[in-house]
Amino acid sequence: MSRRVIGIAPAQPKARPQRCMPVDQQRSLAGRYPLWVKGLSLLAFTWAFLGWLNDAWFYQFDNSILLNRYTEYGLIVAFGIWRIAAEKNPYTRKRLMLLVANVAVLWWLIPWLFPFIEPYVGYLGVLPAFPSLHTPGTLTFFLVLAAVFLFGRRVICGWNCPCVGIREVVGFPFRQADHVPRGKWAWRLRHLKWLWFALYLGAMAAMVHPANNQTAGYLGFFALIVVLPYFATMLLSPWIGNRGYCRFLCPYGATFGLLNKAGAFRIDYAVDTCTQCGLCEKVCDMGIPVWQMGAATGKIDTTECMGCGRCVTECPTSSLAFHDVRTLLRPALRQDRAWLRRLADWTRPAPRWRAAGFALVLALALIGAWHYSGLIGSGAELISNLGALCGLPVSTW
Amino acid sequence: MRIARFHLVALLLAWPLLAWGGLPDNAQGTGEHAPHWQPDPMHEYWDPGTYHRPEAESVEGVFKGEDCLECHAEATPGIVKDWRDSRHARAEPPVLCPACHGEDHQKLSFPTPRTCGTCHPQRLAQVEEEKKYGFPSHALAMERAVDSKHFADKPKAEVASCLQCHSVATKCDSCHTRHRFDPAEARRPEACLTCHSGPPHPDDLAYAASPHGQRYQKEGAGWDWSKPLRKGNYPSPTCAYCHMRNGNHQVADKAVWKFGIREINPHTAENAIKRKRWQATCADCHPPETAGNFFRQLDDERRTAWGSLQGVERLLKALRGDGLLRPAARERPPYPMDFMARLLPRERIGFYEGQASAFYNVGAIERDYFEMWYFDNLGAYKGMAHGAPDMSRRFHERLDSAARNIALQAKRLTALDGKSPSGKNVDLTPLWMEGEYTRFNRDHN
Repeated sequence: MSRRVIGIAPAQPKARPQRCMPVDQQRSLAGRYPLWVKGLSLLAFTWAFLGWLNDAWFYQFDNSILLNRYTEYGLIVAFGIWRIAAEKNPYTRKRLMLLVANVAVLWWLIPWLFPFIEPYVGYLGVLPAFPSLHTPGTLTFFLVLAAVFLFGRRVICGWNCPCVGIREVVGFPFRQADHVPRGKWAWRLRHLKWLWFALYLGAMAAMVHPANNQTAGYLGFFALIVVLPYFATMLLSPWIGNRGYCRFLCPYGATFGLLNKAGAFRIDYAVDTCTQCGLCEKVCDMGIPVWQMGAATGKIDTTECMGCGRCVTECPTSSLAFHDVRTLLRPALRQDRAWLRRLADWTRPAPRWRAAGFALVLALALIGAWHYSGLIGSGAELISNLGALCGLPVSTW
Repeated sequence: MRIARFHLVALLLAWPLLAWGGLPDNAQGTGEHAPHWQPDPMHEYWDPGTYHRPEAESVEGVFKGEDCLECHAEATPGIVKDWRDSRHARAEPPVLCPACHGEDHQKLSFPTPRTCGTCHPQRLAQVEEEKKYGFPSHALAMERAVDSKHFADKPKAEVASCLQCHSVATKCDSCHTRHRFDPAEARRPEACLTCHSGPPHPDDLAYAASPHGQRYQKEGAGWDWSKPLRKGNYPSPTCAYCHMRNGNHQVADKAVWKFGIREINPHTAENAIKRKRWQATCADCHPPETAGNFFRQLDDERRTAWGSLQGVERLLKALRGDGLLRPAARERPPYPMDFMARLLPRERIGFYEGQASAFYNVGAIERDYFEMWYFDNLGAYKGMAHGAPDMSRRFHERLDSAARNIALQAKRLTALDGKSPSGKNVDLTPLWMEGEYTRFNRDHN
């Protein structure tokens, strides 16, 4: 009754918030999402898990795209389009675009439509179909190691990892503060992944020699100890945040992290301009105490950083800047907030050429893969040639 | 004659030295279970690279080329005749005995694939490359045999046959029998059927029943086997035509179902590539759609077989859960050095939990399941994969009847639940704590 007394004001035509805010005012702090969004996210995680289970264990359906290993990538593309449209930080939006495109083309379409085997060394027991960058000994594995050494973990974890992909675009509701554990113990827990890393080293050692009962058994065990937590951490996202696996377990992330530390990549921190607002720590999905680390050491040089650029692009005073091989080559270059945001500004003409170049390279890669996969079918056996190159004698006999 | 008399005298004088030839008494096995088994004298023959010791008691002297032939034409005329028929003899210069066996008669060696590879490096490379594809594999066969637990565990007489076939990894004359080493021999299916026959892999039955094999049986005797296995050279394929395409000595590069032993996803990227290779092979004679439909039919067959196997496996696991599988794992001596089996004795069911246990002194129901998945299942696979669907059908009948039989046994076991049919509690342990396996195991572990 009281409502009537107060009366209802005529609906004011509210100004709708701009869909894309001006480049300088955007924030990538995690939003709060209603329960149904979180439920949807968990459903998608479960669906991806069921897809893998069906593909690897149950074979209940005839490799339907709705329930196989590519289901996860399909979900990444579907949720990815949503996230790209909703993302406010232009640099993150650009990153998500590339991430989703990479997952769609490199991880899904190429292995699905025209699979081909990568050159590799060692004895895997299975043929590594492109892109096997997590499989030691393949060509992409070594290329990725080199790229990480030069540009940091961001080249793979930030831009081209389906594991990050699904966690960023499907697991976004669990980025918010109540879900992501931060603090001393959460930060210490990162060391857990060195156990997984040791197991990964064991897998590398097992691949040096041809398979026997023990190495084959060990590789099977390793696959399970990686894949089961991979999906389990998705379902545990409400308690450990969307990046639980990356932060605490991922052996590949640990490998790239070591190169992160050893290589050219770090984030520079300018103590003079920093206002100690702490925004950088709030936006970090990996739970890195960015400000503390910067204040203590003058830089953020850690195995954990996967180079998403949220802290750099959010820093209100431009006190943070990426440092990688480009900085070594061009000391004047400062990859700070303004630089990164300008890169992501699609209204500028220059990046449009860059996009065209990227599309060209991608098209060439696709055509090359298609051509190469056709060659494999007709008997041009790259592996046997490579086997001959790797020390086995070649003759004209 | 003078030579023969010399041999006799030498043998008489040197008989105490006989013990020095061949394997020493304390020779050790190889592989994971090396401390637990000793090689037989025959092993130096199956795996010459590891076990062959030169025969110190033999004729003294260093012989070159034609010298060998002089004596051996009389001592071992068959060998010499085979060699004279071989391409080695017709080569220019001829490949004489010392090229493979060495010159010093007291330090002669048996050739290994490596020996053959000095002149046939590409073939050796192809064989070696097979190791990249994992099991099953010709190149890894020897290791696979000696590394399996039951090889070390069982009485010698029962494992004597293993290495005859598994030596395909350690010598080339499994397929190109010495001393003729004829490629034409290995092109014929009989070369493969020496090993690829019998219960777990009845390739002989499958090929004979298939249209390919029918054609071979009717006309094969008249074919020109000196021609390489290439498109257009033969009216119907033999084993090697498809599995060793264009003479590639790498048999694993198209292995999708891996013998039918384990359930796999035929649609992984890796298997899609292998399918493509098969399709290219079939395309020598058949349109690609035919090959595609054939694969689909094979997939369906596999899915049916695995459905039935998994049903039975669930049944057995339920019995295991109820403790009704007797003898239980803790009632048998464990495999040599099987740490986990000592720590957590467990009845192993089906391929995934270790096929070896099924050979062992297990209860009748477990043994029946082993025979079901290893013999009936693989027979069903081999038939369908080699174009003999009727053979596959017959093996599916056996799968079904084995499943029914196991289900009946399970029902009976559940009803008895540790009691004898008369209703009294009986202790059956002594029954399986005695017997050949158990005694042998106790003595050896």
